[in-house]
Amino acid sequence: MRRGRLLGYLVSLGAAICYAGTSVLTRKGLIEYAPPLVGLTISLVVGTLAFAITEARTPWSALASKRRGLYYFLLAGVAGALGLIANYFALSVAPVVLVSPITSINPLISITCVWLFMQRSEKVTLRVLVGALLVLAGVALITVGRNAT
Amino acid sequence: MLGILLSLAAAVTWGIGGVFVRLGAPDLKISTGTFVSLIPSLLLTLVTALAVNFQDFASITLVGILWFGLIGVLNFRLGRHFNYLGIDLLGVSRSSPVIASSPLFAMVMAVTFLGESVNLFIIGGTMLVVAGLVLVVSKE
Repeated sequence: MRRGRLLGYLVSLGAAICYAGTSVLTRKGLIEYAPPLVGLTISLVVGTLAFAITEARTPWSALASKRRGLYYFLLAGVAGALGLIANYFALSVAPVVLVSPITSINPLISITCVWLFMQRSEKVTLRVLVGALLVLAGVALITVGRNAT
Repeated sequence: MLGILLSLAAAVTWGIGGVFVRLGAPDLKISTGTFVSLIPSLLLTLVTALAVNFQDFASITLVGILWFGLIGVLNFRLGRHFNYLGIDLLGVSRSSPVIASSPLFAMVMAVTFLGESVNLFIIGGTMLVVAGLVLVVSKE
């Protein structure tokens, strides 16, 4: 396996583990400390500040020539926030055992978009598609199992 | 029905968000892009939270702030950065199923640290997630 690809899988696994830790800590935090949107806002403030410290040396004036990238990342941020807010309101009107399996299909949305619009830059193989479907089915079962105990 | 529609909206926006990252990654350093992405996320969430839970901000304790601050570092400083880096290195179609396996790790943590029990659904789900990851990671 190429080094870049191995690193890609490792950081993706790292993201999955960070999100898992977030999920476990959030469960306790919501019971004891704050409503979801308040907790989420505090998390975003601290997460953004933590990034601001490490990104303080970025020459922001040089970014003017990279507007395309800036716009796409801003759009990614908007999409991420809309997803978090929709997820919050979904959980306020429906049980997690219904909401979580539906929201977890987001990789299929990404894969469909790539397949429809980005075939030149990224190839979607049958193996990846079947793998993604198996992961999503497994996640749905785990969600049902955790909420059944 | 509303719950299903909102859940679908979350799935669609998260799914499209990954595609935006893929499109922006060639033009911007990933750490800078991740930071840029956090700014609209923070603003939109703050406005919504103030509209829905304005009074709850006053009652949060210092421990609560520290708790959610820790979550912020884990979720946004590390998790989102790794997520975007994975999309840049692998492409969104290969990285997103790996990242989607996070409930498997959450379950392991909950069983290990919170004493949650394991049942047949969880065992079956774990096997499916692992099989799916092996398929995604394995060579063509």
